Amino acid sequence: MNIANLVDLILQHSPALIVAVPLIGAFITPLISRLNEKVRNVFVILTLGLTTSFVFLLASDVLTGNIHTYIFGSQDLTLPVVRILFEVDAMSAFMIIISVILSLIAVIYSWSFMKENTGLDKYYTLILLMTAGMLGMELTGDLFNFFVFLEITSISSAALVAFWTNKAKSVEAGFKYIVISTIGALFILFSIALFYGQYNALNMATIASILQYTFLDKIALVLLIAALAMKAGVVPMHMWLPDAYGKAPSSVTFLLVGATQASLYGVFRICFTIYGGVII
Amino acid sequence: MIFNVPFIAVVALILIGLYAVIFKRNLIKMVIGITIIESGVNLFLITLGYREGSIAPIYTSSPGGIMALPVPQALTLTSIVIGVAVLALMLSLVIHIYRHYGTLDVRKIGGPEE
Repeated sequence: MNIANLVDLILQHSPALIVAVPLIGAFITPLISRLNEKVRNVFVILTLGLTTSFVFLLASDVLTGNIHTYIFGSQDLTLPVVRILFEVDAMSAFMIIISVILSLIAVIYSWSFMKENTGLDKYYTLILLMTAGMLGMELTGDLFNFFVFLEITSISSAALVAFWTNKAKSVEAGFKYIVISTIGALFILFSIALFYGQYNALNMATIASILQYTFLDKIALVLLIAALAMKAGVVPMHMWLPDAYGKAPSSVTFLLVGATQASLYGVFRICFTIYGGVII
Repeated sequence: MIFNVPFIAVVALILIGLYAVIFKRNLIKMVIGITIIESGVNLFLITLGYREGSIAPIYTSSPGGIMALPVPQALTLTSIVIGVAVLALMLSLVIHIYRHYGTLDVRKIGGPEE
């Protein structure tokens, strides 16, 4: 197999690889850190570097005008809801570039910044999990899958905000963040259930094509925008954000910016993709 | 009318949970409130997939008749697993808060910078 074929193959499977590589790396990290600390740091940086190269490969192809669709599950498109789609357009490509660069910088910065802390195997595992969650949120075209990645991101980021458990304020900020983001995510799940009950679909494009803008859809729109804006720290619901940004380790604050931007990306998807045909 | 009872229960569970989160002053009670909201949302998902007289969606040993829709059940299972993770993380943070402040009353924790 020559190089061009290999690049084509990687490009074809890159939406799956971008999420899978940090996710698998996250679960290998605790094993590697049994060996040596330096080996672990190099491994984490290499994992994120590999993800970054996949992201740039995918983004360079998407920005020439091809929209990528990656199908998990049945390839037979006549059956309903038995597959999960990853859909990558220019907006997703832009957001995954931002997220992956932020996490790569955060990991490189943590090498010296977190040098004197213990429990760093858990720290790096959580960083990789959070990166996988953010990238998944930005790549997915399925509403329930969006919820799952949102929860992965919020659980790991709340644990990272409270990483310095010897400081009372950090733990308090982490608790505030997990309460806010869990309630937000539960209302997102409630509105996904409203969509599913009406249209028997979970895919964003399918819902957008058959959206009737009924009263229930208006309720779902309000709940989705309120919950995602709360997670993005938009002004009336921003009370958790100064605590979380200020009390987290500085290297985690980079990543928190990426996570809040991913929630903001969710607001754009809801407004312009799902409701774009009826309210604009 | 009888088929509306689960939906009324959903709304009641979500409102009770929100009341507990907003008005209770004990951190453990706030965590319980979040779990109650989660139960309400899970009940909503399950109720959407149920039809009167339907059986469990297991194809290999089906006696015939209509089956409940399996997709909401899969969604609920995922949601329950996520809920357990969130619950464990919140309770561990509550333990740390109790170690620092010696109380779980939200009016007493916090305060000025250390």
